[in-house]
Amino acid sequence: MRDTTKTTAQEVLAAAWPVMLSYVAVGLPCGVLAAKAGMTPLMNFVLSLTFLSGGGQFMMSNLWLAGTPLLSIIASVAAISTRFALYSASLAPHLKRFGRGQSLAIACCYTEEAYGITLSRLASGDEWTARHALGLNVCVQLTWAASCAAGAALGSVVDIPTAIAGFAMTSLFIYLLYAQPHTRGTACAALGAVVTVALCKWNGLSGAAVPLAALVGVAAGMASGLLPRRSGGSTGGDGEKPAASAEPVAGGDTQ
Amino acid sequence: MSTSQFLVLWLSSFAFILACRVVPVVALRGRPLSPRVVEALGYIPPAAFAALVANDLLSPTMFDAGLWAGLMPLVAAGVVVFVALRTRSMLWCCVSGVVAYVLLSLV
Repeated sequence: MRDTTKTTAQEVLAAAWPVMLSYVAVGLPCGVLAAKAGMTPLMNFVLSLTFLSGGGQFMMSNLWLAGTPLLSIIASVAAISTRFALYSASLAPHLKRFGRGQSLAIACCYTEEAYGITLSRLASGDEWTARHALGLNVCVQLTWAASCAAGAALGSVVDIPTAIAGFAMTSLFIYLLYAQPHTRGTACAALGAVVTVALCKWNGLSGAAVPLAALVGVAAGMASGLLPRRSGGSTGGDGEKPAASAEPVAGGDTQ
Repeated sequence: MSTSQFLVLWLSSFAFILACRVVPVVALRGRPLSPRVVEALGYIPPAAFAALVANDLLSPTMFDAGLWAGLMPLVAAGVVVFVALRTRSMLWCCVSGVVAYVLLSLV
């Protein structure tokens, strides 16, 4: 039993540590920004531990510092948080193998990166139990909350440029996008989402850009099935290639 | 930000995001899904991650500080894609992205 627990912990940490490192890099400036908006380290810790949306937290602080009314901040943050409903919808079929309580616990506390890893592991049929998923969630969640609180505590002492640290999060999302199956449908979904984000942002709908783009992207992916298929494809003419594993690669070299 | 303002912001955001996380899992649990629905769910991750990347990289004001200032994050993103292709490592993607961003911002 103890060996099993130890093995599970090792497997979770092997998957979690690159994400945890990234969260430290992004969480510190997120905390610094929140401190500028008037949040204490304790507020930051509680918010980070329960809200679990780095983008949403950055948005809260930025809008507050820009003098945006509280209700507008809540509406904007809610708009970009709707993507979690899409994530949970895509996780739901894979969570059926777990008990109801475990499924709900996993759904309550995943972050976007933990979602990407767990979805990839469950979809690929790996030995990824509810304990693995929950352990991963808790590890990255605590790291994020502690980093944000530390950033708020360090506040004015450490001045990390937000744009630079924020690019760590962008890089994570690029990796997670790359880790998706390399199919024509995926490419259409991604392209549809990018175009929609651009159209929304250039038309003053920044707050709704991400959830709206995700929906349009799904529609574009579905519509790609209506396009004529290429002849000679080995996987139904879709040009499908195996996806990279969404699992972070310790040491960075899979060769 | 006062404590009461924080509580309003935190509790409302927390309640909303919790509903977003839990409702689909409860609603879809135990229901057989049609192949079309399964296919649609499979497109959510690439669409959502592409939207998040685009949301970070694209902005109506991205070229206000000059052409290079607007292009620089896109070039740094290109570096990350190259590293992803070469290493398939999340960590190296993050490290290379931040390093590329810092170096390119010095140009």
